[in-house]
Amino acid sequence: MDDQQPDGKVDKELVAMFLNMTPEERVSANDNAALAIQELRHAFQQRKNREPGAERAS
Amino acid sequence: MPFSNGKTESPGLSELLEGLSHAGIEFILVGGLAAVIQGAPITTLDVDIVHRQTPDNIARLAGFLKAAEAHHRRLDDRVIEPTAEQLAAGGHCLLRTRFGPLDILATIEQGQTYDELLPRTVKIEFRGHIIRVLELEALIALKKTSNDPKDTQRLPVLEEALRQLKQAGKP
Repeated sequence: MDDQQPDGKVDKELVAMFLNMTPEERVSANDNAALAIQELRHAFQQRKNREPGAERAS
Repeated sequence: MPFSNGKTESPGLSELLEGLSHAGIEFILVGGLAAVIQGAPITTLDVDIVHRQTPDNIARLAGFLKAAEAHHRRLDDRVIEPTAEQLAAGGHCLLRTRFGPLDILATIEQGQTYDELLPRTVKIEFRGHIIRVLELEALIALKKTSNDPKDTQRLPVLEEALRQLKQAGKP
């Protein structure tokens, strides 16, 4: 979920889309986003652990 | 995210919210998830609640935390479980549970308690339970006094959600 556009303006359509969901659907969407973030963080951490200095690689 | 005991937690904030409700705990949902549940498209990784500080409620909360394998979030590996005494002490308990992080607050900005916040809540049906959520307008007012850059960054999104809700006649 991107809450703001690159130019700093609020994504009004995304807000409208979210408002059309039920409260349960909104929390579920957040859960899914949180899960994805955790998986990506974990993957990044694993990579860092395997390859010291990998975080600086291009 | 691994626990220090080798177990893993999954970010089931829905399950955490449902568990608190199912346990009959009186609480007000505040923070990022309160904004999410009212329609703000932001992402948050924890649940923040203000609990009612009565002995019965604290006993229910302590029982739930035991079942949820809650322990204090710490920088070291020590596993320290929260106690009823800590929950009654009037401070903050920042915990990890098997469902995800849970911040239990006796008060929020300007020392507002559960009873003081109650008039500024909305009731929302969630998985068959009615939960009390700090209304979006009150959340925005709180975020405006926050020094956390994350709160400042999110403010325009919360304000746009409130604007659209008002426009639709359902603030």
